[in-house]
Amino acid sequence: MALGGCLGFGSGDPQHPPSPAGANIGATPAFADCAAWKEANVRERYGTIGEIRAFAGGPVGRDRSGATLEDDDAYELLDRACENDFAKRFKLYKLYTRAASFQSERQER
Amino acid sequence: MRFNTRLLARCKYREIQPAVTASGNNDRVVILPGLYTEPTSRAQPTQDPKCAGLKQQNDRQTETGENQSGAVSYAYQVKCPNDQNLVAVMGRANGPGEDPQPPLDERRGIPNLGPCVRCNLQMEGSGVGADDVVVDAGRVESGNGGPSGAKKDVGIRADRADGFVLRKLTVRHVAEHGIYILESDGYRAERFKTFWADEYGVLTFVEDHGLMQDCEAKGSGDAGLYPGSAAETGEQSTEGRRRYNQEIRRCDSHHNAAGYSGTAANGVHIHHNNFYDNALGFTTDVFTAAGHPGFPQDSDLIENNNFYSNNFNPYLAGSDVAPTIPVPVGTGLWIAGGNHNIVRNNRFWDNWRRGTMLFAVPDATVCGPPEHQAGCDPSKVSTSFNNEFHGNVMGRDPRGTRDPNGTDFWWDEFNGNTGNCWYDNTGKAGNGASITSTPANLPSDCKTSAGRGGPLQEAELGNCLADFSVGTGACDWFKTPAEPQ
Repeated sequence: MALGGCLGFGSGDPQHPPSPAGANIGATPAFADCAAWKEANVRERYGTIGEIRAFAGGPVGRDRSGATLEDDDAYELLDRACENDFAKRFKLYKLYTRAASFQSERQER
Repeated sequence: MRFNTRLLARCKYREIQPAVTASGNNDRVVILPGLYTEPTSRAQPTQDPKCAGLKQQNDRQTETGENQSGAVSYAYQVKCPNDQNLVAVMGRANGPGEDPQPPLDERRGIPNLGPCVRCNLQMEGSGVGADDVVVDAGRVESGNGGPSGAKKDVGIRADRADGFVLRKLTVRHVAEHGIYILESDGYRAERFKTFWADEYGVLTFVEDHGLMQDCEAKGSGDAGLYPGSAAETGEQSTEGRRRYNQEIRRCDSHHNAAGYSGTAANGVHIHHNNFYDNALGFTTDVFTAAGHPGFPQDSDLIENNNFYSNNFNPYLAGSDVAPTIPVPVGTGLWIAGGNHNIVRNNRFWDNWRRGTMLFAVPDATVCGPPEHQAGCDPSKVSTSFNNEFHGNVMGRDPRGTRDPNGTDFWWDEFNGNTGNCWYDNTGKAGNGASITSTPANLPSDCKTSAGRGGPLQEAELGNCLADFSVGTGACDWFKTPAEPQ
């Protein structure tokens, strides 16, 4: 369900990605947090997931790329994390990349 | 006072940024005691349309074939220095050519580098100490506390500013980094303080030849001190020798989500610091590998530090710090994917969950797209190998009083990890026998150490990092552990 046409963001300065042009939750991906996630609709959420996926899956050295999640799995993860009040300011990309780094550890749900 | 009175007579600027802008190589900006909110910088727009054309592609094109662009370039920062930054020290002019498009896979060096225009710039408060010059990018009424009310992402940015020196000032109330030093060969930041950065008190990125000392960082939503993607001068060095590229010493980093953090922070020497009253005292890791050159993390020397009482819980309702990361409350230090790190001669006490944690991050990267994966082994696990913990005093404070950690050492025993060892450490009773650990017996011989799998440990990591199973109670990281007896 990921939307095409959304701009991603590059890895030259990972703390400052650009404003994307497609549907998203209204914040640049580096700033997108759980508070914004909770305000967004489904289309916007998937748009932001696509942007984070593009960033997280960027190059690592010459022959590898960062790990990514299936968009639906990412949606479930972020929805689950963001329902906690204490996660209000959790950056979505930080949640995403941590989860993507432990995919083989995922428990059966 | 007389000294500053004489300086006042020579003062040309009422704000710091114009003084920096007027500076050249080898200049010194002296800042008289006072509160600097930089109203001119604050008034500059973020995402200024006049600089929109200076965004660029900073990564490979994705499988969609679309030209991904929009990263903020160096040229953008030169033209719009106060878009994101309260004060910007842009050390070099724009390069004479074009930045390579698409970007190079080889991340060492800076292509299209311009000449120095503000290299070896010193920025120094003229008061007695850091408290006398305050650079505030947000809510002044918060004082040295929160909330930040940040109006700018960055307090002081030093970008391609080789030889930058910052001394005797406080930076506070930013949306991201209080002090941000990047792509600068050589820096010295000392006798400074950072308070209530929404993300990092100090963030350095792709740095070499750097020194941070005699500092304080408090109230950060991520980490107080962060030397990310440090130069490859450790195990992965191409120089033919190993060295440390940055040194952090004699700093207090406290009441943050994390006291120190370093993604791909390779070859950093951290010593004689105090990390206390954080949720997690110290983290170095390989999360967000893309965008952090230097993967995998390796070769830190962490010695003669105090890691204590890292039981601050920012996840409680009403916390004065809004955390932006999930970490286990009550932990002194963790290596979340790293190799060849040495943790020696430190003290860990009164960390109610664990003194230290070491674990592999098995899935941080995958083989790249077909045109970028020659020789890539998809089964290869890059961390965590060859880390040593020795000579540490666990569960006793500097007076020798018993003050235990929940568990002193924790290791995930990841299957296939080799070379990790723990030896010559002492526990709460002052001897090796009183060390507590998971697993109960840790390998002391680095040569024969081999992980054979730790299902309980892996379940915890899976529940907390992969699944975020907080609602089911499967992950308890965000609860304050009971104080150990």
